[in-house]
Parts: sequence; structure tokens; C-alpha cells
Amino acid sequence: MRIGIDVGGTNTDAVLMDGMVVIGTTKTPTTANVTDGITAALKTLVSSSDLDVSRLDGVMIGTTHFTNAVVERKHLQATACIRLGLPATACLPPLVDWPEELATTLGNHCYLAHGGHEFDGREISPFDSAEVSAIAKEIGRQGIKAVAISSVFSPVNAMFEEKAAEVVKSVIPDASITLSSTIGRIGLLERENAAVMNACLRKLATHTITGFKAALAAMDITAPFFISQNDGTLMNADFAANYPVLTFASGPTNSMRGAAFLSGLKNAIVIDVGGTTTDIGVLQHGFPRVAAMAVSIGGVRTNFRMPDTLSIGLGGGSIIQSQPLRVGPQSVGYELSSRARVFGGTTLTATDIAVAAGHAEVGDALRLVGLEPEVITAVEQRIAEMVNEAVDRMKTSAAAVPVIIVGGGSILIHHAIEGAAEMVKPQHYAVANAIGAAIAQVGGETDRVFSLAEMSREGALEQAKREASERAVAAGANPDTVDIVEVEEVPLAYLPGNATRIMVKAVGDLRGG
Amino acid sequence: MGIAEIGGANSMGPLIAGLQAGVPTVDGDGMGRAFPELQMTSYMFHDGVTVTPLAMVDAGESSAVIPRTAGALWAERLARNLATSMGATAGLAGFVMSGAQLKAYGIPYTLSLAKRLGERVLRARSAGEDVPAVIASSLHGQLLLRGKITDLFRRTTRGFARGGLVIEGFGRKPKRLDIEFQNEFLIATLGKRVLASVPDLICIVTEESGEPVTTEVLRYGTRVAVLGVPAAAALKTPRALAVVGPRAFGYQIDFQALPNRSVIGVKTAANLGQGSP
Repeated sequence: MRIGIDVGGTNTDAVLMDGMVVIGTTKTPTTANVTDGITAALKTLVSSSDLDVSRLDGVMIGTTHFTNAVVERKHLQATACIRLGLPATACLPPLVDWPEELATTLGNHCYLAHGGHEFDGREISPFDSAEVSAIAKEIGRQGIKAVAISSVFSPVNAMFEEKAAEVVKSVIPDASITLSSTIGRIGLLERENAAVMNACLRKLATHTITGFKAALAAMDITAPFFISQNDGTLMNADFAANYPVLTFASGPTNSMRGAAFLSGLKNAIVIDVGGTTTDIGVLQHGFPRVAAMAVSIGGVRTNFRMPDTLSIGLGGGSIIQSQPLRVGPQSVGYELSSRARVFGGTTLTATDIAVAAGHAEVGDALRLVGLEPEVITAVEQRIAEMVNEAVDRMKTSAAAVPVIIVGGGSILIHHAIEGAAEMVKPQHYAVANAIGAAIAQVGGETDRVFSLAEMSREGALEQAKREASERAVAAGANPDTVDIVEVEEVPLAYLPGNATRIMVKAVGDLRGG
Repeated sequence: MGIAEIGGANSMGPLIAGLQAGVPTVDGDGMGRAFPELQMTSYMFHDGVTVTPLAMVDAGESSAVIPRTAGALWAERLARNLATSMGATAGLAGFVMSGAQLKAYGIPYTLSLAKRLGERVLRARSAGEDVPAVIASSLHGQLLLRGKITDLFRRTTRGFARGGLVIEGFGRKPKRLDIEFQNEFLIATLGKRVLASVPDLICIVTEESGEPVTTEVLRYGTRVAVLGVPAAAALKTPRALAVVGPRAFGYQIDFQALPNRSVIGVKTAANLGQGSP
């Protein structure tokens, strides 16, 4: 049995699952310190399902808490960044393109030192431990306890980052250190940015994870607990305390994985209709298709792999204008229950239209008397067009695909979507996020450059797969269940020696059930 | 200071070097687009200018000077090897010429064109305009297709990333565009019909925001708009086509220029976006 919890911006959702069956669900407002909301959700779930907590195999938590901290510039620790790569890279120091107030919040402590590697593993310059030691002493003098270390092409060779960490540790024994090679992919600035963001969140992460542990202990829950990663897999609590940045985008990913589970479909389009926007994503083999371009978090450029979603301005609260006809993008948002006409307000919203058309029973339909049938029809048609067009954009083949519809605003969609082989509105869709967290497996990823002139393609793939699998096991996977779920090879332009970038994702079941 | 290639970082480097050296940078370049090799610059389509003497530096302390080669193609080969040894990236300066030669053989006003295009795109984004359409009209180009990438293949040949992609249009009867690339996009065909080829520019941008999509970030499913933009006139002379035309890249077809008059290299680009092609 497992409990999945999704701590969202507005609500904390929780589900109790016995194998593949949903036993109970609950939704409570998210609290400022997140822990209270989790405790409330757990209490409701346990009592309403009459659960004997000793039967729990695990508690899985997905949260946007750390993303929000970066976006809101709150609870972030003063952080120093050391980059190894001189004499190269000096023209663009660490944090060079960060929004000024965020860089200032972290203290703008950036240091460049010698080291780094070329794409083929050659050193750019030798590692100089005296140089790093002097930098560490300067950092220590300023009382900074969070340090991020990046080195050019560290995914190819992480040795200098590891050596620098040893030096920093000897000078500042209680520093928390993040190595860019452990969390990031090829792309110096993006990887370094991820490392710095991770470092500044370490204190918050430790505090938050401790809070989660306390919440569980207060309920006598001794089952292990896990945190959702951005790719829909889990990491155990201690790993998560060290790598909070890996939780970014876990929400949308869990939502899609939950939709996949509830519908029994591994390949489908997922439409999540919210209050203001509708997000459309694509499920491939049970995981969201990822976006190609760099992703900005709080204004900082990163290369985290995020689900590829198309967002359109259509939601339950979308404001309707009849002359000329417009549906959204303005929305009453969370004020739906006071501003929509069915709820006594004066704004005509998409929800009102759905009720007037007889597709939903919320509020008081009598308040819609006088709404012209032509308006209802025209709006419904426009909504159908918006959805059809968006689905068409996301589909990659002309063949019909199943479409899963989730989200509170799904009452808006009842027409047959063009190109949909079937339309599924699964039960419990309102807590798809929490379900996605509950059913997740444990994963590991590797992203490296190999020279195919020095090893065979098979050898490189084997090594990459082995590394990804080892990382999955380190994160808590049962080695016997680890499978490779994704392999991507990109030959690198202009480089000799047949340089190829290989990215592998491995996934396995949680050790111990 | 002159610019060899206006593409990407190569437009900024000379500007910074000029500022550091205390000399003005000429508003113009030698390609009016990006191309992979040194002999593909417009300076080389005339007699009287040589790539050498050529100086190269790396990020460390290494530097090299190549005083002379048997032609531009040889300079490209040697420089490419040196750049690789230097860590796959190196700074390069050469093509020494007189002002009169630069004026006659270069492609003018491309730096200011790039700046104005960027300003136009940023304005279009904040105004919620159709950015790919804005780019196309600003450059007197054509929107060849809007669609999603449905097939993608890559292979390395002779150190270059070659490959192809298929883009399927949106809508009920989607059109299907095949594009081949060798670092740059070379040719776009609709069935058997060639819609655009080198030296004309084939630009792929994201459908939603008009962000450039380069060959390394191509992904299955990405929603894109494909634009065909007329190349500068200097790239379409018989001598130029022998170096940058389709046959030079291995396609056994004659070059068929995109219909509109190019804005690249033309002073009236100052009125970007106004007037009809």
C-alpha cells in the first residue's frame, strides 16, 4: 500500500493506493510551511480509509516547494560558485545572465579557477589545489556555507570537481557542496546554473525533508518516504535533501503519469483543463514527451528536461465575450465560485456555457435563463475548434490517438475531438498528480560525450546504460528490476573522433516494495 | 575590423575585438548568413583577396599564424585541423584586404539588419503577433510550412553532422516537407519539388515564439515554422554558386532562387518590415 501526496501551489492532494487500486483520496489547502498541510491530508486519508499505517510500503511526495522558493526568491541560502576552467570561459563568469535581484539574493559570490576539460577529455589546464584553497578560505571568511562547483565538460570528466570539493570540505567542514556533474547535462552555463540553484536550496531542503519526516513520525508512519523527480521517478528522502533541484517540474510530470495510470494508456494525448489554461501534453511509453528547448526557471536559463506542453488560454473561468465572439484568454481564475453567473456573479464564463448546454450541473442553472442559444452554440463551437487545433499541433502522426482528459475544467470538453481514437475521462482525475507520485518508479540518468573513434558504439552505449542503471540503484531502485527506458544519441557537429552525446534513462521498482 | 560570417556568435566576436583594438567594425559580413567553411565567404568569389595570412588563437596561450596556402580550401582544411586541436573552438582572423575590396566584395549592412530584425521580433513577441510570419515578411521570405517534426535521422560523415528531418503540416490534409542538413539546413523539398536550397536560407524557428531551432536541438514532436529567405545577391553569381550552390553540397540540381528580392546586403533594409517585397 502506498500514499501519494502532491503539494501544489493551492492544494495538497493525497491518495491511498493498494497496488493498482485507489482506496481513498483527499484534497486540503496547502499551508505556508507545507508540513501542516501534509499532516492534515494524511490524517484525513488515514481516518477516512481506516488505515493501519503499519501496512504502508511507502509514502511518495511531489512538491513545487523548491521551484516556488526560486521563483519567489524566498528561503534561499547565500551561495558561492566556483568554476574550474581558466584560462577559458573568463568572458562569461558564473551567474552572468541571472536576474539581478536573484543573483544579489545569493550574494553574487563567483570565483574562477584553473581546470576544466575539453570535449575529448583533455585538460584545459591543470587543477591547482592551492588556488582553490585560497578561494575556499575567502568563502569561509564570509561565512558562506553553500558552495556550487562546476568544471568545463565535467560530464565527460568529473575529477576536478571532486578534487575541488575535497579542498573546500577541508577548509569549510560544514559546507554543503553541489557538483554540477551530479545533476546537470552538457551545456556549461545551464549545468552550472542548476548546480547553483541546487546549492542555494540545500538548507531549505534539509529543513523541509526533516519536516516531512516529522509529519510522518507524528502519524506513526515508519514506511520509507520518497520525493518525486522532474522526470516522474522517485528519489529517497536523503538523496532529495541533497538534490532539491531535481524536484522541479515534478508536478506536471506526475499529473501526466497519473493520467496514464488512471486510463490504462501508455501512449496518448493528455489534456488538463484548469481554471485559466488548458495544458496539452503527450505520453510516450508512459512518460511525458520532453521539450526540446532550454527552460527558464525564475528567469534563470537551465536545461532540465521538462514535459513538452502546449498551453492555450481556455479554462473553466475563461471569460466569454459574445460580440465579437471571444473565449478567454482572460479568466476569473480562482474567483469562479463568486464571479461566474451560475454562482451568482455577473461574468459569463466557460463554466456557465457548459451548464447552460446541459453538460455540467454546478451552481444554479436558473441564473442562465435568457442566455441566447446561438451564443451557447457559438461558444461551444469555438471551444471545440481551440481544442482540436491544439491537439493537432501536439500529435506527431496522422493516426488517431487516444485522448485523456483531466482537470477541474474538463466539463468544457464533450465534443468528439478530431483525431482522437477514443476519449477517456478517468475517475479520480482531480488527484492525478498525487497518483502519479504514488505509482512512480526510481530512476537514474546519464548524459555524456563519447568518442566513437576510441570505443565502439556498442561499447559506449553499454557504458552509458550501466552508468544510468547504477544511478537508479543509488537512488533506491531494486537492481533486479532496472530497465532502460530511453536512449538518445546525438552526433556532435564539427567535432572529430566521431564525438557523440549519449543520454540514457534507466528506471526500476523501489527496493523493498 | 570586418566580420567574416554574420551567423551567431561570429557576429559579436569581431565587434568586441574591434572595440578592444580601438578600431571601428564595418557594418557587413562575407556571407549574409551562416555557412560552415572559410572558402564560402563572398570575399573569396573574386580574385585579389586571400584567406591568408591567417592568425588563430585558443582560450589558453597557443597561437598560430598561417602565412600562405594554395587557395582558400586549403586554408579551411588547415584552420579546421588547428581549431580541433585547440579544443574544438578557436578565434580566427584573416582575409586582409583594402577598404575598396571590402566595399566591392562584402555584403553590407548585415549587422544592422540583424539588430533591427531582433528588435522587430522582440516587439512582435510582446505584442502577441505571429512571430514566424513577422520574420518571414521582414526578410522578404516565405513561410514554407508550419508543422511538427515527425521524423529525424542523423549520421556523422567526414566530421560533419549530416541528417534529415520531416515536418508534417497541421490540419486535415497535412503537407510534408523533407529537409536535409549538414550543420546548416541545405534543401527543402515537398515531394519531388524543391522549395528552397542553398545558398538561399532555410530557417527553422519554434512555432510559438519564433526562437531559432538549430540542428543540435531538433527533436521529434517539436512544433516549428520553416522559412525560406532569399540569400544576398553576392551568393548567386556563377562563381559563388560553384562554391555554395546545391551542386557544391552534393545535390545534382541547378539552383532555383526564391522569388523575392533579398533584403540581405541592401541598404533599404533600414525600412525593415515596411513596403512590399
